[in-house]
Amino acid sequence: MFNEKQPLGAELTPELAALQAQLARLQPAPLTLDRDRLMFAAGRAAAESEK
Amino acid sequence: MSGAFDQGTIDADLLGRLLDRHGPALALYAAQWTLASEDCVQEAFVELARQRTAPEHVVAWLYRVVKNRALNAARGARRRRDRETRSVADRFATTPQPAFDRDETLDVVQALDQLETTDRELIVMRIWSGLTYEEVAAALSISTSSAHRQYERALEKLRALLESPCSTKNSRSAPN
Repeated sequence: MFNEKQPLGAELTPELAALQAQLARLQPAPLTLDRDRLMFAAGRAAAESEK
Repeated sequence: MSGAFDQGTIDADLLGRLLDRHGPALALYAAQWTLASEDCVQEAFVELARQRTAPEHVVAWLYRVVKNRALNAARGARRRRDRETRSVADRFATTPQPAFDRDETLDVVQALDQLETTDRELIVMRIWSGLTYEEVAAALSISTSSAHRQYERALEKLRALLESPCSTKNSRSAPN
C-alpha cells in the first residue's frame, strides 16, 4: 500500500525512484506566452462572470 | 505541493502562482495533442478566472481543461485539413518552444513518445507538476489506487524502453 502523504518516489522501488529522480531533473521549457495579456484576459473574464 | 491552491477564491496572485508552478508542465502535457499547446494553457487559465470559487482540485481541473482544449484544437486542425504528420516525439522535441531545455534529453523524449497516452499523462502530472495521486486521479477520472498502480507501470515501461539498446535510437536513425 502507498501512503498519499509520502514524498514523491518514497513508495517506489529504488530503480523506479532513481528513474523518477532522473526525469525530475529535466525541466519543461518555460512558457513563452504573454503573461500580461493572459492576466488581462483572466481579469476581464473574472469581471464578466461577476456581472 | 499543489494542495495550497485547492481551496478559496480565484485571484491574480493565485493565477500567477499556478502559472509559474504548473504552466510549463501543462504546455508539455498539451503538446501531446496539439502544436498550439500554450494557447490551450492560456485558455484554461482564463476559464479558471471565470470560476467564482476554486475547483476542489484546481490543478487537476486545469489539466482536464487543457486536455479538452488540446483535443479540440487537434480536431479543429484535422477539420481544416492541416494534418499533423509528425509524431508526438517530434512535437516534444521540435516545437518552436522545445519541451525541455537540454538536448541530451532526446532519449527520454523518444522513450516517452513510445508510451501510451495515459502513461505519458501520468508521468507529466506526477513528475513535472508534482501532483499527488489523488489529484492525478481527479484529473484522469480514475481511482487513487489506480493512479498509483498505473504510474508505477508507466515508469516500469519507460525504464524498459530506456534500457533497451535500440528502442529509442533506431527510431531516430531511421532512413527518411
